[in-house]
Amino acid sequence: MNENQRVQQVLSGNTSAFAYFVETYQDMAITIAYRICGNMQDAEDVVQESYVKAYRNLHTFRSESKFSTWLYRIVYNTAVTHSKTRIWMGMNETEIEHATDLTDQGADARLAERERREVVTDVLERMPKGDALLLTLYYMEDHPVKEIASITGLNEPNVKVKLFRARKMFKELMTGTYSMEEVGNG
Amino acid sequence: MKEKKIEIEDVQLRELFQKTGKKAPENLQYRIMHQIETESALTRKKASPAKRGMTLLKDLRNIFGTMYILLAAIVGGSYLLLGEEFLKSPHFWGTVILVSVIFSSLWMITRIDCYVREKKK
Repeated sequence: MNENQRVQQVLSGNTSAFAYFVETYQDMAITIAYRICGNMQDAEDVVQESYVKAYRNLHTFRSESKFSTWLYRIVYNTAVTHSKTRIWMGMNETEIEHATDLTDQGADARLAERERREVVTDVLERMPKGDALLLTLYYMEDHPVKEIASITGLNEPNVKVKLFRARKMFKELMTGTYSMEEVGNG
Repeated sequence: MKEKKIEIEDVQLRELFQKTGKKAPENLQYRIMHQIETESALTRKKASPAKRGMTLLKDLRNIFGTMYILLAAIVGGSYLLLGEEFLKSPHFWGTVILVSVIFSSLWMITRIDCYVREKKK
């Protein structure tokens, strides 16, 4: 059964069919909400509110787009409204200019998996919220630029530019963190 | 060359990001579904305009149906017991009007009660 059929099931009154969408997309939804809100409690509230909104407005869902894109857009908007913060902030250009190359450093190769995960999470939390969100959408779920544009409401060239800058900043912070850990351990 | 390097980086970053996603707590799905099911049950309970129309007709039928049955019984009883002349007397018409007024008032009270209940909801 595909997603459009499930949507039709829910619309015809089978509420429990909506559980499929909750189960399938709740992890990514909470990741998006967390990137914007910055804490799990608010992220959970945002996700719950977003799913209820999605259920109420399911009749407006057009099957031309993916259900996940439509849902994540709701999560994004709800989280932005909830957190009442500007998530697209300017970046320090000098930091970007001096960004170092991740492949050259081979930082990830030397870090244990758990440490790497912690470092990545930490780096993402230190980045501007919008940039962390873009990287998450692009790398975690393989969303194409077009879908990211639909979710965030930005245009495609803007997403590409922001993604490029976010990637640079991420690499720089990642390398910086890794070097500091090396110093700490040594 | 540069493109290939970006591709390698992308693969590395993808690998890094795959494991950093947040996990929704176990009770979140239950919370969401519980709220949705409660809302949908409440929505179903809300009387639709058609349903409200049905209630109105039902009240009309019950109250005025009883009234006409009672009036028919009064007319029949008066005719059999007191004769045709009584049906033309003011006393008989007074009784008929009194019964009609009582039942009409009852219907009006029912409608006001429905209106107040809907307002409260």
